[in-house]
Amino acid sequence: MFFQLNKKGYLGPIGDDLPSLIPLMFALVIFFSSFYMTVNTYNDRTIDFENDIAVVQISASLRGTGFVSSLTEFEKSCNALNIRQPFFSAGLTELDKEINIFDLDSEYIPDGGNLFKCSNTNETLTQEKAFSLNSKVVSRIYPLVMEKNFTDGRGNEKSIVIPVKLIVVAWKE
Amino acid sequence: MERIRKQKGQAAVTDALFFLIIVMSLVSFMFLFSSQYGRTVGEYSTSKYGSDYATSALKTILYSSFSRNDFPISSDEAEVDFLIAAIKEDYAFNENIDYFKNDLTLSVQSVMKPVRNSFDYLFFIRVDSTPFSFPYFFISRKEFTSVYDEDGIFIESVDVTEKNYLCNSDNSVTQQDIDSFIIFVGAQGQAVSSISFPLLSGSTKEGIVQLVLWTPKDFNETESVFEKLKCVSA
Repeated sequence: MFFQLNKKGYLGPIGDDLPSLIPLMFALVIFFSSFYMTVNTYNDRTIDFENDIAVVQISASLRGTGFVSSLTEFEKSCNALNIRQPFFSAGLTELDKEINIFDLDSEYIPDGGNLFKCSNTNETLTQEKAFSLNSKVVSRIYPLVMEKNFTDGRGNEKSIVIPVKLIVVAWKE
Repeated sequence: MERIRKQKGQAAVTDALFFLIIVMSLVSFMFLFSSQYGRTVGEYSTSKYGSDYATSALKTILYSSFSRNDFPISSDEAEVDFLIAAIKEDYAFNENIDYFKNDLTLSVQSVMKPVRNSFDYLFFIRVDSTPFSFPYFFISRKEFTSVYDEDGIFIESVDVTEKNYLCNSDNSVTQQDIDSFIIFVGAQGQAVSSISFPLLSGSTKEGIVQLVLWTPKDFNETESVFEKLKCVSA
């Protein structure tokens, strides 16, 4: 009789393990969810840093001394860059102009038939790319001075130094 | 003995709860890690951008051309000169900046326009002697005003107003006052450049030009560190 009372609710070794499976499974689900989230956060931020570092390198190279004397000099600075990823588009635009980063080519200052533009891709940043789930976009703006030579209405050669802004947009798809 | 051996499953729930506690500790650690990871690098990145921008902006302000006679700079009638040359010329007359003060303010505002939503800033010229130790001192900052609901309990919206000031109005500001203000707002980037001011007498006065950026901070005009700068609306 005593042995029977002591065995109340006893379902056997496997039967008694069943309730313990609830906290066990709960712990495993929580653990792997957190692990997945942490790895995702780590990867996301690492990509952000890579983009930030790339933008700093690009802007440092293109800014140089902060004075752009000609398109040739700008292109020389651009050619010194050796960045494959992330994709980037950088260039000089007018200081007061509002910039549309999805149509950068129309924003860059022209010189002859060329633009003050530096890029490592023929692709352009579109709204679909920018707002897609895994896309990362970083943009930075810096003021610079640019020498501008022109002939005035009286036929005199003039040289002025105008403030412009360097815009750098980098993205990873 | 045989009975105890057969009932060993009884301890399984306790084991599982201990396992849960260990897992929760690990999860807490992972949450802490993911919230902190890269925070320092992110802060450094913002600070680096602020410093780079300030350096570029200072060069741009100082080296830009401007029109001395208010004609558009690329027009035939424009009398083009470097802004800094005009400022030095202005200073040489009476050791103060009066005549081209407005042009300098416009240039500073124009160069800082791309980041005006992200940063507040101050720009000053300091000359290491009397009578005017700060012949030019400009501050642009944003003031936040909370709009409450009818009961005056909940904030419905926050109005942001950009305010521009010319400071040192009574010529009493010291470098210490400015340093206290910079510490108060927490500079995100700054750039300094030395400058020489030739005088009509033939002598030269040495000075500095400084630009300081900070992320907008909520304070009003009665804040003591700001009051000491003796600012008036520009």
